[in-house]
Formats: sequence, structure tokens, C-alpha cells
Amino acid sequence: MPARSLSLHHVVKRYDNLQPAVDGVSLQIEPGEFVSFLGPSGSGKTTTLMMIAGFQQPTSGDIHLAGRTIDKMPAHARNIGVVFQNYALFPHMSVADNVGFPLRMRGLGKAEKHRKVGAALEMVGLGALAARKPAQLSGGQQQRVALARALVFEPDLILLDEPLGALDKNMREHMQVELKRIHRELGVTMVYVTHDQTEAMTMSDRIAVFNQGRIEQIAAPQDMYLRPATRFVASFIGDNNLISATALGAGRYSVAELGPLQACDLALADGSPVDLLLRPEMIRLAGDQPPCATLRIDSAVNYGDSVLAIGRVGATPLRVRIPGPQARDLRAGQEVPLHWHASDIHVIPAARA
Amino acid sequence: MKSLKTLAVLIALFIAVPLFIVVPMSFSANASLQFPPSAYWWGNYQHFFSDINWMQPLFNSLYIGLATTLLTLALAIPASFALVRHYFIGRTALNLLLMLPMIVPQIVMALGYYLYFGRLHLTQSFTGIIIVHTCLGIPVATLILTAALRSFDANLEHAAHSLGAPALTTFWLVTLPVLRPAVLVAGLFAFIQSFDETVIAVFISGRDTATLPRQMFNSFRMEADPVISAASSFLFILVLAALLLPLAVRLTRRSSGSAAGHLAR
Ligand SMILES: Nc1ncnc2c1ncn2[C@@H]1O[C@H](COP(=O)(O)OP(=O)(O)O)[C@@H](O)[C@H]1O
Ligand SMILES: [Mg+2]
Repeated sequence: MPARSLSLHHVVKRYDNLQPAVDGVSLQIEPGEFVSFLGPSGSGKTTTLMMIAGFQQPTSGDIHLAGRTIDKMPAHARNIGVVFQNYALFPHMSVADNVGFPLRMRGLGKAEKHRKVGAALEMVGLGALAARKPAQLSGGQQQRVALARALVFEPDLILLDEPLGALDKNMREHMQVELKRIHRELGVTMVYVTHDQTEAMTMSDRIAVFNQGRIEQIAAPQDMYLRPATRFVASFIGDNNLISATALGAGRYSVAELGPLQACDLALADGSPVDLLLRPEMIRLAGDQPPCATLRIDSAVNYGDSVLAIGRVGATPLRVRIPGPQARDLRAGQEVPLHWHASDIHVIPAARA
Repeated sequence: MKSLKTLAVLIALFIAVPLFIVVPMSFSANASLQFPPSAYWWGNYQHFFSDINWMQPLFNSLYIGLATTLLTLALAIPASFALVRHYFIGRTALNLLLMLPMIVPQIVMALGYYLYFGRLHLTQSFTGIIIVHTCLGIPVATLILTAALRSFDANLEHAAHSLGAPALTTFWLVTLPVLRPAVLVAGLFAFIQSFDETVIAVFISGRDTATLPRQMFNSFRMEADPVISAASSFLFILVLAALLLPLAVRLTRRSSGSAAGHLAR
């Protein structure tokens, strides 16, 4: 299948005179990439996708597919496959007719249509169900049909809007693996909308985090986890401790009631406000190392493989995840010495209000 | 729960009582309308189906009903799309206007049409009755169609576009077929109300364009001919069949559908 690049340039969408739904989104997606749009409900992910598909017109800005602008192109001429959360299968057509629909629109001969529909259904593992109506399929099967229909015509791009949102957990995990396999086999560019951070982390080449109609950060999952660009991204992805602090220079930061903390030096002006991100799993029990702080535990949640201790250091709330057997004895009310490395603290310059 | 069921059955019986009188009477061998009949035969039906004075109104009614159905749908479908999909100034007013024939008493409408159509030379014409019946059919058809359109999933059309179907193709291949049950029900109601309508037909249809209900009304008034009970029963059976048709279609489709499901499994 052809792999195409996609780029958005300062795309804005206003539905009415209030806050725009999409507020100046720019991004560049490479051929064959799997990019997730991750963000809370109402952050503009679907609207962005609808504009790429051509169902909505941008108020301003432009969109390029394979280097050519598609702003003036109607949706039916764009050659983009779309998978919807509610499947949007045509209820009056059989599975085969649903999958054959885009081929019928392209005027393919009967034999070739039959062959391609068969291959697409084979690809999603539904070869035996071609004659059924959508209503006779389970949710997972319907979503596979929708996927087959979106890829059978060799689109330049596949857009998926929370395609697994309506499935139960097991089926969802199963389909995540399937989707990645199909992406690998076809090499087609995919844009995947989700509000599930785990899904985005496990599936994507890169993640674009949406917030209030803007992209807060676009990065590979691991980079995003270790080096979130904003407080919003840090709090949206993974469990976290976000501590407000002030830069003191030379990589030292003062935290109210906790004293100075050492972290990496961002060469910020003295007195600049920052947020310090310290992931709960980066913190260890001090053992024989010098303690960085002492945690008074308010509650300890045992996950079997680890314990999440929630408590305070001075007045600062802190979450600590301790793996393995050493965690079993942690109890509410205990005071435990903690240790971390200065390099485990990620410094985020705070946005000025 | 049980008493509620009993109540439902009682109400159904109450509604059905006239049928228990009319249907047996249609087999009456008496020369006048009398209940219960003293003897039974098929004669009334033979008479009904062989008398041009009954057959002509029957075919008139069928013709008017079909034309009304088509015209009602041709107007109510675009109107429903406009009301649901588009915002325009006067939308609420238009909606109210379309519902008006349901609210205004039929006898008032009849009088209005009688005076108004006289000038337009539309009384005693098929065109006149078809126009009137279409006006009467539009409120219910619009209610049914707008309800269906409001619950229609716009993503179905989006999906069709993304798969390469332009707007008109999408309408014929996706939108209309998905709305088909609503279109059929709306058409059915338009047909039945036209087929049943008496008051206005009495006012504006003439001898040559008499509908079946009008003919029954006349016959009842003039001679109390027992054939009228055969005509009534026939009218009733036809309407009942029309109402049960969608149900039957759905039942057979479901059973054949699940059979296909079993085979595939
Ligand atoms: N058709 C529409 N008309 C008006 N406002 C809309 C429409 N679609 C979305 N919005 C608004 O735009 C914003 C972004 O919505 P959406 O793109 O659906 O977000 P997401 O997919 O991230 O949940 C929301 O505030 C939503 O209410
Ligand atoms: Mg959405």
C-alpha cells in the first residue's frame, strides 16, 4: 500500500463565536507513521480528524496529503479511509457489500472486487462471515469489518476515531495487537484518536497530546513520558508527582517547606517558576544511601507486584511506587526515608499566568 | 401487572366490538340491516364484487390512495430533511404549518376546500381529492420521517463519502435505504388515511370520483343495503392487511436472517 505524508499548517476550526474547537494545529506526519491524537474529551481530536477526512472545512489553515493541498478536495475524492467509534457500517448491506462499497464506487470489475474483498476480510480474520449483516456480528467483529472496509481500497491514509472505545477490555487489547500487525503489514500511514493514554503509549510511533484545541506536545511515547514539555502532558501521561518550585540557579530548585532540591540545570533565570516532575516509580526506599526526604505514609495500596504509598513530605503530597518484596511491610502511619537521583527529576518551565 | 393486562384486553375488545357486528352481518342473508342475522350466505360479497357501483369507487379509492402516498412522500421527505438538517428563518413556523391539518377539525377543512376548490374547478376531480388527502397525510408522514432522521447516524454518510461516494450517490445507496422502514410506514399511513377518509370526500368528490367510504355513506343513507357491510368488512380487511404487512415482512426477514446466522456458525 502507498505510504503518504500528511501535514497540517495552523489549522483552525470555529463552530461558533466561542472558543475555537481547533485552535492553530500544525503537525507533520511521515509516510507510514502511526501517530496517535491523545487528549481529554472535547480537546478537538475528532474535529481535527474530520477536517483531514474532509467532513468539516477548516476556518483557516491548510492540510497537505503527500505534499499536495487537499483543502478544496471533497471528502469522496480524498482517498482516505476512516474508521468510526460506532463502526458506521451500512446496516442494510452484507459484510461483503460493506467492504465492497468503496470498490464499487471505483468501478472495479466483479472478479477483482470479489478477490479484494476476500483478501481484506482475510486480513482482519473474518473470511467466513462475508454473507452476514452487520447486526449479526459482535462489536469486535463489526469493528474488523469497518477496518477492512477502510483499507480495502488502498487509501493514502487511514484515520481511526476511538475505534476500540466501545469494546470490552480483553477485546480492546486483542484489537490493539491486530491493528499494529495490520499497520506493519500494510505500511500505511495511520492517525489514531484515543483518550486512553496506555493505548497511545503502546501503539504509537509518535503521540500528539491535545488540550483545548491545541497540540501541547508531539513526541515518541518514551520521550513524552520522560520529558513532557508541559505540566498538562506530564499529568495526562503516566502516574506522577508534580511539585511547584522556583529556580535557584546551578540546577538547584527551592520547594516550599521542602528546602532546595537538586535536578538538571535548564539555565533558567533565578526565581523562574518551574514544575518538577518526579515519577512515583523513580523513587526508592533509601536503604543505606543518604535519604533525600522522609515520607509519612497516609495510605499504602498493594498491587501484588508493587505497593503505591501515598503520603507527604512536609506539606508536599508525594506518591511512591515501590516494587517487589521490600514493599510488603509498608503501612499507613510509617515514616520511611526515600532516595532518588537528581537526574530522575524532570524540570518543566511553568507557563506564566 | 395482571390487572393491567386484563384492562388492555378489555379495551381491545371494546374497540373491536363494531367488527363483531359488521363482519357477521356481511354474511347476512337478510334483505335489510338486522342483527343478528337469521341466515348466512356469500351473496353480499358476490354482489359487492360484481356491481360497478361498488367496484368503481373501490378502484377510485385505490387510485387516489396510491397517488396520495406518492405525492405525500415526494413532499414530506424533502421537508423533513430541511426541518432536521438545516437551520433557516421560519423553521418553527413551517413545522407548525405542516402540522395544521392534524389540528383543524375535518369538517372545517371540508367546508374550506368545498368553497375554495369550487372556484378552482377542482371539486369532483381526482386532482382535488389527491391534493386534499396529501395535505391530511403530510403531518403524520413528517412526524415519522423527522423522528427517523433525527436518530439517523450522520457518520453513515461520512463513511460513504470517505469511501468514494458523492452526495447524491450517498443519498440513494445509504441514506434512503437506511430510512426505508420509516418511509414505508409514512407511506402506509398516508395511504390508509386516504383510503379511510370520508368527510371531505363526501363534500368534494363527485359521482365519477366517488371514493369507497363516500359510496358507503351514500348507500347507508339511501337504502341501508346489506352489501354495505360486505364493503365495510372488505375495507377493514384491506387496511388490516396493510398494517400487518410491515410486521410480517420483519418477522420473515428476522427468521430467515437468524437461519443464515445459524448456517454461518
Ligand atoms: N458539530 C459541532 N458543532 C458545534 N460544536 C462542536 C461540534 N463538534 C464539536 N464541537 C465542539 O468542539 C470541541 C471539540 O470537540 P471534539 O473535536 O469532538 O473533541 P474530542 O474529539 O477531542 O472529544 C468541543 O468543545 C465540542 O463541543
Ligand atoms: Mg472525539
